[in-house]
Amino acid sequence: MTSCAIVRSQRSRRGPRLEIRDASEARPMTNPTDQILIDVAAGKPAAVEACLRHFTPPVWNIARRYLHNDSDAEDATQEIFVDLWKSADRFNAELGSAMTFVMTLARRRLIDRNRKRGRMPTAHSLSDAQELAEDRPPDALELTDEVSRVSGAMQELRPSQREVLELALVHGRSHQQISDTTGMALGTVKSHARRGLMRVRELLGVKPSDSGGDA
Amino acid sequence: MSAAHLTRLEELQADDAIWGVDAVTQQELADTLGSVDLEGDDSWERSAALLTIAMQNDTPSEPSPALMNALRASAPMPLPEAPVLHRWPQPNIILAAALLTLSVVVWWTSSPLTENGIVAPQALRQELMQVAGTAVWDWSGGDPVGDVVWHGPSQRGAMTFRDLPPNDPKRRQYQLWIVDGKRDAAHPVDGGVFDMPTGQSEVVIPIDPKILVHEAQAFVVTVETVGGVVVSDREQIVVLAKPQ
Repeated sequence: MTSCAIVRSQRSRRGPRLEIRDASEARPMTNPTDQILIDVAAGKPAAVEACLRHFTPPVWNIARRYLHNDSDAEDATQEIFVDLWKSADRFNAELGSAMTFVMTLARRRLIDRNRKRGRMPTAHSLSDAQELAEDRPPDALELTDEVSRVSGAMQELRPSQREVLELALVHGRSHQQISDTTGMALGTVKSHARRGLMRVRELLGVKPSDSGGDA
Repeated sequence: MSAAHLTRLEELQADDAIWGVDAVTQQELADTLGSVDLEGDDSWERSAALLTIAMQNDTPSEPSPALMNALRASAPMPLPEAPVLHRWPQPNIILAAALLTLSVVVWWTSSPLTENGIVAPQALRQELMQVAGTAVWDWSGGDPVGDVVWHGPSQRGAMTFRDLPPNDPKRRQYQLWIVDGKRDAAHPVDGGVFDMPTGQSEVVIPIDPKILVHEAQAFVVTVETVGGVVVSDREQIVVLAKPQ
């Protein structure tokens, strides 16, 4: 009896743009979360389980919220981690947190997935505007310095900009769906989102990485 | 770059980071960047990612154990450590060499790992056969014969074929499809492509779907173009295995 190695189908994959470089000073020490990804890239077996424990909940959470379908979210989560195994060696802890690296990769994959299936997610039954207006407690995610600074920057945004960005980034809504949900004109939705993101980028001083575009 | 040009460039980059842009707009973005001799600016995507993290202000739900197992199965497997050679006193060299050779043979024949850290298909099959909950389904319809061994919780399995006709890997390849009871039957899970070498009567091929299979209901092998297809027309179904 002999064995054959299975050959995976090749699929097009647009890699994430991954390195993070903020205006803040370089970190003097690598934090434990970042170390997990560094260890994954180094091929340390124990790091895989730590990586899954730490990053699966937020990735799974954004996938569910973005895709509004558990089955699609599970597929997307797997695709994101397959990408992560392949690209962990591109993570640079001096340029940004591991969580941001993972979320950049996850968002790119979710956007690609929505685009491939040729439709945006179906509207949520819950009123998005009402949901967003609720004041909720801080999340269970680790609040890194990086995220804390973003939270501060978010306070600088106009409420309408924040609302549009949250619907787009967290809930995966298209501009048309946001327009339908909020009653804003389509052009206003785009304008709020663009200006909001520009403002956050400016406030955080996020600069392009050396590598620039696609990984 | 004119102010209008710059504004348009920033709009395109922001749109791409927030929603992604279609192929036409992607080309416009690339052309605009190229016209000013710039590469893609990843700071937009990173800003969007940072905002996404900060805005996820609810308690994350727990992924299912099946998903966690599938993620573990997709992780790169650790390489086995190379045997460590110790210096022995001169009179013991021959004995040491013999012992080392014997230990390597024992390790090789007992370990399910190959030198690449990949579980050998035969060993994988044997291992799964010992695990509770493993399903074993025969291929139906005569030649080729064999079976499928599948363990859902770990998302691992192996196919055995006897007398599967060899394929020309430059022209055609076999492709596995897994029908999932929790998915649309018209869109089975792609199990990857594989080859049947000439001169072999029996092969064992590992199953390693990168997409979670919730409830395997059937395994189907088709003949497809090299590299496989995303959606099979199912014109050339070779074998099928499902519960009897």
